[in-house]
Amino acid sequence: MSVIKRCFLLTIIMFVIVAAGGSAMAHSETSGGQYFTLIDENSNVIHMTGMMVNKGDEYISADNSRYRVVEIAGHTARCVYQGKEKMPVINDSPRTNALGYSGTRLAPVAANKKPTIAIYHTHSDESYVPSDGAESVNGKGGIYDVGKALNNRLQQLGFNVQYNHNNHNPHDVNAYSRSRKTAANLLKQGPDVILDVHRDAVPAEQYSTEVKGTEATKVKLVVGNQNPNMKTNLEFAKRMKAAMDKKTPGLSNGIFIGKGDYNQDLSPRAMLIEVGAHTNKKNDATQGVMLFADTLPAVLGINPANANTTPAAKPLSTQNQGAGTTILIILVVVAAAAGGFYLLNRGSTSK
Amino acid sequence: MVNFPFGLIALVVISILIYFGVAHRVLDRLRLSDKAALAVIAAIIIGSFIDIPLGPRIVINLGGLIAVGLAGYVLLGAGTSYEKIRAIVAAGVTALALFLAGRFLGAEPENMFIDPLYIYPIVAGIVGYLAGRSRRGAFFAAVIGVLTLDVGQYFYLVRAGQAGTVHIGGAGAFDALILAGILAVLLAELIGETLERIQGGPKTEGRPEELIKNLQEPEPARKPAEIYQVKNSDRDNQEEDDQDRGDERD
Repeated sequence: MSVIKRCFLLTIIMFVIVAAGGSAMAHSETSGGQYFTLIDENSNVIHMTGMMVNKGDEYISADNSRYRVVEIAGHTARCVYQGKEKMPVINDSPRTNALGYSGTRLAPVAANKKPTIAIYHTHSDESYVPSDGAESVNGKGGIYDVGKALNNRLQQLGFNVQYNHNNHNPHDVNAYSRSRKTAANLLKQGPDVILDVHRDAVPAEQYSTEVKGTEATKVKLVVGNQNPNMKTNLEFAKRMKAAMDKKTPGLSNGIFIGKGDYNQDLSPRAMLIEVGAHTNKKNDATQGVMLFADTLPAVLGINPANANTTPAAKPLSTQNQGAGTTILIILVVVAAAAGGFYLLNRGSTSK
Repeated sequence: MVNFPFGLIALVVISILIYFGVAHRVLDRLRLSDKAALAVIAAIIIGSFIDIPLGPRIVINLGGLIAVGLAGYVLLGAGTSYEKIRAIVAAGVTALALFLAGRFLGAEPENMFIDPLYIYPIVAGIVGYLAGRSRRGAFFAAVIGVLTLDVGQYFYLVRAGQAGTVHIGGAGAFDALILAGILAVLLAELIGETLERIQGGPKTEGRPEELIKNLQEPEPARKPAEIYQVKNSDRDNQEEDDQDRGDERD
């Protein structure tokens, strides 16, 4: 076959590969107007999301009901109820309860070391229409104001914050591979949590809430299921949600477990958060993200303001369990792959 | 990370060890010696911590640079100039496919059947295999294909007049560039070996004798039954034993 013919064939094949499963190209978080609605067996609306929903995706709702998507019809995802999710127990006063609670083992936080939270935005353009005038502002979206509010609040709480402002535009499928570099650089600082801050693309009422008389947006956690750390990340997301439910009921908009990696393979404590939608006011989103910041000490079981002097404590058991399961899965997959390669490579020639 | 419980630290350490273990085997497959492969991995790890500014808006990570250098080295080591051309074509096709995917597919990873992070090696692995039935071709196609995406972002930012810095290979050892290279080689290997197995083993016609010898499964010096017989032969009739062995071979 001539080189030209071969190149042509290769290009055609590549198109087919890349386009496979990518036919649903109509939607993106910034396209506006289009979103997925998750419904249960009785056609009750469970959730709406600007993310593309696929069969097999899961959602843990505000009341900890777990659903699995079984069918997609247009922009409606039919779900089946899987039961109530067992949530971790959150201790909101680590110091007073440092001797243990409900079977969860506690360990002291390293002394003289402020806990670090890292923040970045994969989608640098995401904005809030009522406040920014557009849903997408190239390279300097309203999302940076939300990130700034989170940064300031965390610093007030006594955390050390590493906030990276880098621009990962254009907003396309390669944005995560660009923000991966940012995430990896932030991880060199050894953060306890690394947050990728986004906003959703659904009607405003999906995220609008009122906490103690103040208008705010809810916060949704997203876990990518094409990520080797998925189990551990989900365990961490559940912990974050439990802390929100305990400290600020009504703040959480559940946990969405969808296709993707979202750079969560880089750390078992990497989390993607959606703060409001493009239809919400930016000020509500900053309120929401500050309330979210207030729950982080309970998530980590520490008191960052007193990290230098107070022997605080943190929960171990559930995360250790999640990590153990992940390690086991990784080892089994590696062993299976190695075995497969061995079998493929043994044997002899055709003659 | 100092506040990580033991389980999480173990997870991170084990993941990294497995990743580098696999990377080592892959480099081995690219005809690097064991020691050279280890040295390259060590250099990439150390290099991951060093960023070299190439201009006010473009930074290259030393780990990424080493991977690009390795891709070049691997290309130079390709058997024939025809193989080299095919590897370059594969890199071009990979870059084009990834660019078009980014341009025309939806903006979210969940739009695709698998995360883009894994699309790169899948595209490069298949192209690399088809273009040259070559692991080296797959590695080169993946690394250079992903590299062009980073360079593409630089031109995008400059043209759009946006602020922002481009980090080539910025995630060091964990950059899409290196990950794609490693996974692409594994995929090319998987496709190649599977197809060979389906056809009943590698073809031997017109191949050098030494290669065929290496492809064949090494014969044990002595089969277990023979060992048993040799032991017996100390006591029994030696001639009878030889006759048995001769029969077995037939």
